[in-house]
Amino acid sequence: MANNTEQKKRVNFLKGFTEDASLMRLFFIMVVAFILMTIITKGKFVTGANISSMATQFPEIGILAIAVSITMLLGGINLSVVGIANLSGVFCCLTIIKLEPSIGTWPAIFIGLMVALVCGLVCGFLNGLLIAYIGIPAMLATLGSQEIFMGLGIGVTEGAAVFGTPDAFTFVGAGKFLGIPGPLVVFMIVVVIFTILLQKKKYGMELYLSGTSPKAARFSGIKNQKVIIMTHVLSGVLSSVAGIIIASRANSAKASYGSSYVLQCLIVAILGGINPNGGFGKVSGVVMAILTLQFLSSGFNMLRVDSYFKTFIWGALLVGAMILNYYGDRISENRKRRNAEKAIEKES
Amino acid sequence: MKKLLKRNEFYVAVTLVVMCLIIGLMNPVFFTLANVVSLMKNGIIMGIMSFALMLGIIAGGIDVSFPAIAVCAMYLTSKLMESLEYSGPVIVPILMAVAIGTVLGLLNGIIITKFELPAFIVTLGTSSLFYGLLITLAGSKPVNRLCPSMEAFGKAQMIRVTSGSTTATCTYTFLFLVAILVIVHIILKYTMLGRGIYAIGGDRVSAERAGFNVKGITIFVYTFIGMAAGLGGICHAMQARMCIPTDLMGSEMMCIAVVVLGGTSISGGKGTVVGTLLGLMLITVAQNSLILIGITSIWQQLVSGLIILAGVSLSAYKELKNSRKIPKILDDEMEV
Repeated sequence: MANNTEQKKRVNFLKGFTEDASLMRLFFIMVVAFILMTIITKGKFVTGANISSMATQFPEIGILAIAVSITMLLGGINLSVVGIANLSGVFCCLTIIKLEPSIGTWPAIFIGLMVALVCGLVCGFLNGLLIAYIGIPAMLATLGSQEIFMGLGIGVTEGAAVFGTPDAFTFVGAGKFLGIPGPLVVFMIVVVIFTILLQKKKYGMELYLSGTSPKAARFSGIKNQKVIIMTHVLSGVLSSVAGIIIASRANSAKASYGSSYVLQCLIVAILGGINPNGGFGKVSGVVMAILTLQFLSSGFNMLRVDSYFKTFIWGALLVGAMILNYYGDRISENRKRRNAEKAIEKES
Repeated sequence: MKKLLKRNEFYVAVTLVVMCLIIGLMNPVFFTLANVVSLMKNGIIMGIMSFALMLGIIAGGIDVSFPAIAVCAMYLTSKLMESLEYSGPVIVPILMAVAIGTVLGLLNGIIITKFELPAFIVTLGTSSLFYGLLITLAGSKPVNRLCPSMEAFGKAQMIRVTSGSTTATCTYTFLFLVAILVIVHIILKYTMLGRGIYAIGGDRVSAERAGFNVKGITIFVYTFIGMAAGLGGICHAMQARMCIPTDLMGSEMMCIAVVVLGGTSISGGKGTVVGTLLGLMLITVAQNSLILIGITSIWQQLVSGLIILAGVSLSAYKELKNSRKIPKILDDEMEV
């Protein structure tokens, strides 16, 4: 009997270890990327200027990546995050420009930010409706809605960038709070909120369950459709937050900005251990993945690497990370099996 | 008649006819022969890729890397022919482009089957992998002068129609579209391979149990898509009579829309050549005729997005209603 509980403990410990193994692997890759870039750039990489420029660059993609990740946890995907971000940015800037003369700078900025968030909410809700109630697969629905959001943005702005927002608007994207760049502050808030939401709240549990097996979730009383809508609304709002950061950093908005961001978001999510079939993955993994990517990106920029070569690296990383995960999973599975066999042998 | 009403193709056809009538009534130019011929020409490249993509979607997969493959094939071929100052028959560059496409498609297929990875994400990765590598190694300068045989092939007019003041022509590349259409139809309708493609898309495990070589068929499908992409790419270069490496990128969405609008189930197992042909016509008309009814180019993306999403919604909603019927029966049984 005592022997039995000891074995149980060991199995539990092993389970914890394999679960952490993918996060450990990520942490290892992140550190390697950091050291590699420091060596290659001969220390220029760790200067204060570079670190603070990195801190303003990665949050926007990081937030978009979390927006994609939560929909992937559901077994779906959201390819319209960039469209939503740009559309929100455009509406935000247009509102501020329109209202500033009549109600003053700060109230106009406040209303502009609210408009952007509402825009993200509505877009996300639309995505959710298409997926949950009309039954379009998430990938198709969001590919289509991306076309619509971007088309709407282009139509409203006639394809040009929106300029003329007051300088005060840059407080989010270029300002500093207690010496920390604004975007990083927003990113940290988002990470904390979503870690709590996913790990500690009822919604998070429903999300993971519904993503693992919609049928099982339905029979245990979870309303899948509600979870889908909720997730896409959150994803839309997150996208609009990223859109605000982008618009605020450049103090302008453009409907066709950042078309390569979708791919990068997916790379971050997959590298971060989010299972595209749903149900598995953590925000902490996504954070490590975005940091890794930013280290590589900044390093390459210092080396003056061609942007197309970076495209190649992203693609190679995405495919490579998945192949690595495949082997990693196989190794941990084999280990599990061996342990189980050993346990059976001991018993007999 | 009842059977007809149940079929998805019927609704696409009705939408197509209604749309054509509206556009035609608003602008009579739409119904001239010249316009029809120019629509035909505009649909060639998208058609070649869409029919191949349909095989992938029926098999329950997807490929978003085919524009990148097409660009790789056309750019490498044009560039090589330019540097060799090649002056032989046109078949050589075409075969070369097809070969490049086939190799890249094979690579997709191997990665997807060997590591059991989701096709969408793999092809998304290989898309930027192929494209990034191509531009890094081969540069991004357009090839302005194709080799003489390609130039001549692109110039040759298969059909030439003059109506009123406008003259429209259609190139011989149209024959490639017809060839792909016939090949795909034969594969799906008359071969064991085609049965296998439907079976995998319907239920992978059952297909495996039934003795289909699931991995082999999957690899074939992605190789075929790559091959068609190579062909489409070189056709694009010949039609444009120059080769710009930034062309075609981003056209994957439209091709997916063509296939899905034509009634192919995105989850696999269902789809016909006729449906995809109708989808192709619908999208080609929507893309090329909005300007005829006075929708300016800045609103075109929004309108074509709306048309696509509306069409996709229609077929998805019907499928959803059908699938709801089954669980209901199950629920009843469980209560008993």
